Amino acid sequence: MNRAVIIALNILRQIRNDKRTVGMIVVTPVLIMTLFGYAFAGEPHDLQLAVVNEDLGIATLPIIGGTTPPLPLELGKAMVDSIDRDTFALNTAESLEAARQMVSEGQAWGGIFIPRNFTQHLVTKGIQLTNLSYLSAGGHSFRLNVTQILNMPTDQAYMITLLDNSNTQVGSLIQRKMQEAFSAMLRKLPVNLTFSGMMQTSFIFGANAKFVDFFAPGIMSFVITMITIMLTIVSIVRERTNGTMARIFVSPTRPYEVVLGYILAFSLISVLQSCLLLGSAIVMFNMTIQGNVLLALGFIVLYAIGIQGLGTLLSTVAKNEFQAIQLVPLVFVPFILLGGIFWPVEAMPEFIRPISSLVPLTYAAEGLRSIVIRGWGPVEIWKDLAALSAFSVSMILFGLAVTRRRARGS
Amino acid sequence: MVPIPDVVATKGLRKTYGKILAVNDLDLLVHQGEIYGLIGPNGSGKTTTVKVLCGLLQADGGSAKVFDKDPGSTAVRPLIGYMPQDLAIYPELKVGQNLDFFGRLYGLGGKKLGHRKNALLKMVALDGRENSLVSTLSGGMKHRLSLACAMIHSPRLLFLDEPTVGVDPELRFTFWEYLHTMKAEGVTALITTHYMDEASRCDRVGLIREGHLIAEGTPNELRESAGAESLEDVFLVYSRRASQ
Repeated sequence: MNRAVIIALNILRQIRNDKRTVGMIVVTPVLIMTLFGYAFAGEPHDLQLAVVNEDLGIATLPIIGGTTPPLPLELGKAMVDSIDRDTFALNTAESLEAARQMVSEGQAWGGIFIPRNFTQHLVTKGIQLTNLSYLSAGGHSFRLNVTQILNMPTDQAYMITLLDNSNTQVGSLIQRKMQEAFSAMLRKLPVNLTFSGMMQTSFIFGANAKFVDFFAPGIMSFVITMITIMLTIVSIVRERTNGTMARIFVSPTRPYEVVLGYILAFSLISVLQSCLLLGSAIVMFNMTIQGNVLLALGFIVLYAIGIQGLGTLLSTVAKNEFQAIQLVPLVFVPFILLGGIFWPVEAMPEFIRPISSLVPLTYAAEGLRSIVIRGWGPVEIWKDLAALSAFSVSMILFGLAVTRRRARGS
Repeated sequence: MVPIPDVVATKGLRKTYGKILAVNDLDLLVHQGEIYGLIGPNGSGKTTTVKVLCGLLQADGGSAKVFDKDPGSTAVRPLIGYMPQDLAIYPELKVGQNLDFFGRLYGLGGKKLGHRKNALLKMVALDGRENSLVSTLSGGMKHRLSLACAMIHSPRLLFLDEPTVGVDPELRFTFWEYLHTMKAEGVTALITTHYMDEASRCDRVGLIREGHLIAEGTPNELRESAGAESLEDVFLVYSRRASQ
């Protein structure tokens, strides 16, 4: 027992003398808990929603004994007012087509289209079902011109929810929130109306998307992050500690050739891993790839190159392989939590979103999702491509500077 | 008599690590074709000197020339071989793969590399182990492979940093035999060691203490001038003189 205490004390003493390890032991749990807490804070906020309200409403009759002139009844407007403003940021679109375009271009996660005879249709149903002739809405009372309403021609009257289901969690949330808004609007009416078939869903992306379709591109990016950063840091630190890097630097090899060599090796590993990840997602979970597989692979390699550069940079912090291993969670935990893999970036508190936009994994996962589920090409994912290119180029340059410094021994 | 050119020349060389002065005003001349031993205790600045001469560290003062060029310059790199204090070989690779890798870094390939590899494997008695994983080799074998890796491109100057540390007497003996074989082929070697008995195997010896050369000459010259039998005593005599 005494010896066990001696061994334990010896281990603790070693750790205490390694200040970086002590730092990591203290910082890592606090950082991870903080990030988990914020990253999974709640439901998404400020999801962009395209709104087209073409509802014409209906004219109403003066209230018997009332003094104010009759107002038109506009249930479309009431529907829009019922949409949860915490979850959605509403963007008015001119037409259904314009709303579709907004969603298909990624400017909005979804849209709601309210047809021109929305109020008329609802009220007609109300009259038919409950002999409705009088109702109040939005703090006003309305007397319905029943005969006129029943004689009005009716055509398509259902609302259309447009959906980018590339993020299945966001997709489900929009559907649920639209149903809730409709129910809330109906509940405000003094009569008990329940309607089905008033809402149709039109999938812009991911009509048959399953959770795995949303998840797999994120997991791919996550695996590439983890493996690449781990392999890069550990192999560079090992080359340094076992002296082989010194031998390479003494030879006619130039620093850029060392960096390029690492990039080539890890790019090949990334391609292999991506193929395995895509393959297993397709075979085991029936994941469907809408876009170009080669583009997806090229995209992930671009990301891996950046991560490899980051690994080169971080390898300078680690004096040995023990410290190198500890650096890994410090990088990939913030990456996976803030990169929108498990939970949309929109679900994070506002103050943390700018940090999320600095995490390269955000662009890798989003771009990959766009290729796999939305079927987008390089033009459509240009923002993600640009962000990752900037990340990779800057990391290569940093990696090169670090390698050059090391080669010169300065 | 034609003067023998110096392949290594330092003048007032200085290198610091923060406040620690590792190399202090070091003047060093290594002639072509000789085995020069830089002898001194641990922490005397031997490794730092070698690293500066290999271009792995930048000096803070003075000058250093290798083949009359700046250390680490493009022209010098193919001419030097370096065996660091650590084995500096890849344990996950096979013996032959290690030699191939370092050979290719110097532009060797094809039959030329094959011939050179076979010759070196024979010289360091590793022929027949080309396909063995380095991790399965004994410590002595790894040392021999490390030397072979430094020699793969037929360098004209070898920097050997403490190559015999932790090596058994038999292997040390063999090691010095290799060195003299290479010398016969015209290779110059700068070897660092803290084993005083090894100094007697060098053509010339520089005694280094606290980053400064305290004596230089052939082993016999040093013994005579210090009036001591063993080189260990020689070092102590010069060390005392330097302290006074």
